[in-house]
Amino acid sequence: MTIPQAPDALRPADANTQLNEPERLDAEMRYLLYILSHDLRGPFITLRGFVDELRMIADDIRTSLDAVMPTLEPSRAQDITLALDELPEVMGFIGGAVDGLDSYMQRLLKLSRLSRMAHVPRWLAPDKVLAEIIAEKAGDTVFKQAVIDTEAMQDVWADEEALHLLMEVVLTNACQYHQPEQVARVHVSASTEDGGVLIHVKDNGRGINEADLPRIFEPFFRAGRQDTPGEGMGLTYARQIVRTHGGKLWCESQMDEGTSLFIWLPLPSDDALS
Amino acid sequence: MYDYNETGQIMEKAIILAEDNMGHARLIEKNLKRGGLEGNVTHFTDGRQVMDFLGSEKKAANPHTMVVLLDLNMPVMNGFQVLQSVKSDPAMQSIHVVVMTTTDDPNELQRCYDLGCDLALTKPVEYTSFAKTIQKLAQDLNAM
Repeated sequence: MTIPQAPDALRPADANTQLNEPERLDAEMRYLLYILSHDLRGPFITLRGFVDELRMIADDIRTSLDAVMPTLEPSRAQDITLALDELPEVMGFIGGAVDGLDSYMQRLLKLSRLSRMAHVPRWLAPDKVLAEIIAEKAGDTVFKQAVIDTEAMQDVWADEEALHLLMEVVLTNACQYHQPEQVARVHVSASTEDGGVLIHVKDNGRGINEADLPRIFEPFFRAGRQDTPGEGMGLTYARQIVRTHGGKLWCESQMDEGTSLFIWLPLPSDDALS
Repeated sequence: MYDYNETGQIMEKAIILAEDNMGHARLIEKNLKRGGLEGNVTHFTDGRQVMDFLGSEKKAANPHTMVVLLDLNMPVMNGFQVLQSVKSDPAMQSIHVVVMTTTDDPNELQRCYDLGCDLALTKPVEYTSFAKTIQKLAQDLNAM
């Protein structure tokens, strides 16, 4: 196997660079995440490919054997049939496990990409970004069944693609986890707080258990009933985006009453703008 | 290995597969065949071998009939270096280069196009898509 080759920009920093210890550790973690998620794709392709090739070979053997089966002793013919019947299940398990692993890797790769995305910040209106998302998602069941209202908001200093993804994640979550037999109502407002813009996404959903609250930003964690599709990564992506913008993200929730998600994004200093 | 015309040029299409992962190479060859590829496939496992082969063949070969299917992550000389060498050599730059990589990182794919590759493909993990991608490539190569 070839030694993985990560992009130079991602290689762990040398001791002689200006990074402090936490920054160096962070760089190393991102490098490791990249290697894990990127370079394991190769072996996955081999595994997935040959499981399917094996299935085709088994089908060919079965077809060839059909012709000679009547000439075999019945007990031997039965042994062969039983063995061949096992193969699809065996290969199904292997294939399913590889798909599962690959799916984890894809999500880690996306997280790794978000953490090293080249951010090009500019002034953006969060309410306009929200309106775009609502228009794009108008056909989705989750959005069709929700009532969303957004207030006029002050511009934030952010990367457009990142802000779009961040808003999409929080809005989808707010709409998706509604109470049974109830329409999801989502209200998004913003205010200026502590030299930044605080965006408040409030829903009337099923709420999050107090014990689960500290974990909702962890990778792959899904709180509450697992009755909706999801990969358990949305809020992890959201946290990563907010972090790279120097902001904060937190959540307050009451079971059966709803959840409030707060996103605080700092306003740039005059130096950053000049 | 090839049929030559009276001026000593290779007549049929020559496909050079540069892939260090033997499993991938086998899966690619199987699906090129299933896709009905016409022409020979010669397999190399590092970039240096590919450059040596192209260097020795380039006088005799008609570069328009040559296609390199190029993996990026290879020992000795990687795919980027092969791509750069081929596309910066006037005697070789009309050789078609199809990059076939595991990455779907847009930056890496763009870098291949910047270096002059004719096509950059991501190898899908899901095998039905993988097989479909390679079989379609076989048809595109036949049509070239």
